[in-house]
Amino acid sequence: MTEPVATADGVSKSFGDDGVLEAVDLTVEAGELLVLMGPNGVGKSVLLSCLAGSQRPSAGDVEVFGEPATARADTTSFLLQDALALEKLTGRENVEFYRRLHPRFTDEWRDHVAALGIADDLDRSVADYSGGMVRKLELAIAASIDVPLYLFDEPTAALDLATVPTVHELFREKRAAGKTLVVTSHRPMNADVADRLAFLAGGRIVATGAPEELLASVPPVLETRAANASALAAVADGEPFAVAGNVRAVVPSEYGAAADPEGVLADLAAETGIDRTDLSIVEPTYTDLFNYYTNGVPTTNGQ
Amino acid sequence: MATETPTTEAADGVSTGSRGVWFAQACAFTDRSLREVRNSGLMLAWVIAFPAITYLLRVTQGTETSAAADASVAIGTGVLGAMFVSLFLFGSQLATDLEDRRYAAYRSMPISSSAELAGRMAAGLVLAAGSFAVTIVVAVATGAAFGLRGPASVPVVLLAGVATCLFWMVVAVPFVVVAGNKRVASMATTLVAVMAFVLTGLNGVVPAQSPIDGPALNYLPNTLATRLLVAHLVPAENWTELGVSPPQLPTEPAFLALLTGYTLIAVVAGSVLVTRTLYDRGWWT
Repeated sequence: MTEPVATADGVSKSFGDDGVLEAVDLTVEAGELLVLMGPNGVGKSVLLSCLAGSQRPSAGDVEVFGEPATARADTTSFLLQDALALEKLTGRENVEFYRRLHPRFTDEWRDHVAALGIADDLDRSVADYSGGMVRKLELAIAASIDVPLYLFDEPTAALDLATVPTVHELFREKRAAGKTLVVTSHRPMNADVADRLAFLAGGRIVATGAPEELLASVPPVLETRAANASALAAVADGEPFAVAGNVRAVVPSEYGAAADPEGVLADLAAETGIDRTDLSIVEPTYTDLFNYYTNGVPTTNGQ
Repeated sequence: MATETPTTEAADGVSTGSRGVWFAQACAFTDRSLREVRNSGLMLAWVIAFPAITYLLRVTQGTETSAAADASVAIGTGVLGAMFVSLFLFGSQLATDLEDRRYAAYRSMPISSSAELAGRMAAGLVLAAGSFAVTIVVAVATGAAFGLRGPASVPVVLLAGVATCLFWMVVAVPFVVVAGNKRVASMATTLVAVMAFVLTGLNGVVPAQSPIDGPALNYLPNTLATRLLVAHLVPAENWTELGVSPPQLPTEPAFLALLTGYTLIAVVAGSVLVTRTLYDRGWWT
C-alpha cells in the first residue's frame, strides 16, 4: 500500500475568534483526483492553504510527502483564487514572472493557454481581463509547474460552462501523468471528474468517498414547482434547495428506502399542503449530493 | 485511467540556495517591479517628476541663490525623490502582493525570501537613481552647478545613494506589514518621506529650517547620506555661506563607516522582516 501524499490530522484553524476548521481529518492518496466540495466560505481555501504550507493550522498537523507542509515548498503547485495574476502586467509578462520564479516551471503553459483559449490575449494587460480569463491564466500558470501534487482552489469558478470540460481534461491529463490533484469546488458539476469526493461543512469533513458511492447514499429526492414549495422545509431532512426553477428536498428518513413512493407523496402532500400532483420523487443528482452533504445532514465520513 | 504509476515520492528537492535559482528569482522580482511601473505611465511620471517639480517650486520662489546653493537643494530634493521611490513605490508594490494574498501563493513555492528582497530592492535602486538623476538634470538646466571633488568621491556618492535607498525600503516593510492595506501603507510611507524631508531641513541641506539640533543632522540616515552627497558633488568651499553648515559636513571616514553600518543593519533587518513576517519561516532563509 502506498503512503498517502498528504494528510491533515485534527486540523483546526481560527482567525481571531472565528473558527473556520474544526479538527479536520483528510487523507490524500497518491495519484487520485480528490475534489473537496462545500459551500462558499466554509473553509475549503483555508484547508488547501494548510496543505500547500502557506498557512499554519491553529491546531493539528498537516504533512505532505511525510514532512510538515510548511517544511518544503517544492512538491506542490497551489492555485489560490485571484492570488497569482498580477494585473499591472500582461498575461505573457505574468507567465514570464512565474517561469523565472519557480524552478520547476515548464513550457506546458503554451499548451494550457491554447487549450483554455487565452493564447491570443497574452499581450493584453491582465487589468483588462474578465474574471474568467484571469482564472484561466492562473490555472495555466499553476498547471505548468511540474510537481507531484497540485492544489487547485476553485479552478472552475467564474469560467463559462463551455470551458469546464477543458479544465476537466487538464485534470485527467495530470492524473494520467501520475500526478495527484486536490481541487476545491462549490460547483456540483465538478463532482463527476473526481476519483473521490470530500465534503466540508460546518468546519469538518462530513463525507468522503467515490462519487458513485456517495451519490448512492443520498436518499430519494422530492421535487416540486408549487408556489407553496417552501412548506417542504417543515418535513424534509435538511434545507430545501432550488434547482432549475424547482425546489428539491430529501425525502424524510423516517420513510426508509423501501417505502412506497405513492404513499410517501400522499403523506407529504397532506402534511405540507402542497398539491399531490405538484410533488414527485426523483433520482438524486450531483447537485442533490452536494446539497445533501452541505445542508446539515448526518456525517458519513468513511475515514 | 492512469497510464503511469502515481507519484508517491516527493520530487527531488529544489534548492533555493542554488545561485542560479536565487539569481533568476531576484531578476524575476526586479523585472516585474520595473515592468509594473513602466506599464503605469502615471506612476512612472509621478515617481520621476515629483522631486524635480518640488525642486523647481523651491528655486523659482524668487530668492536670489548661488549655483552651489541650488545644487545643495537639488541634492536634498533628489534624495527626497529616492526616499519617495523607496518608501512609496517599493512599499505599495509590496502592499499589493500582501493585500492580494499573493504571499499565500509565494509561501507555497520554493522562493528565497532574500532573492525576493534583493530583486525588489534592485528595481527600487534603478527607479530611485532615475528619479534622483532627473532632479539633478533639471537643476543643471536651471543653473545649479555640480562637480565631483575627485575620483574618491565616486564610491562615496554611490554608497550614499545606495544606502539611502536600501535603508528607506526596509523602513517601508513594517509599515506595509502593519497596515496590511495598500492605501493605508501608501499614505503612511509617503507621509514618512515628506516628514523626514521637512523636519530635517530638506534632508539636512538647510539646517536652519530643521527643528533638530545641528550635530544630529550628521547622524540621521537621510541627512548623513544627503550631506555626504553635498560634500562630494557640490563644488563649494564656504559651506556656512551656503547655509549647509553648521554642523560641519560629515566628511571623516567614521561617517562613511556609520553609513555602511546603517546599510548593513537595514539589509539584515529587511531580510529578517520579510522572511519571518511575510514568508513565516525562520530568521534567515
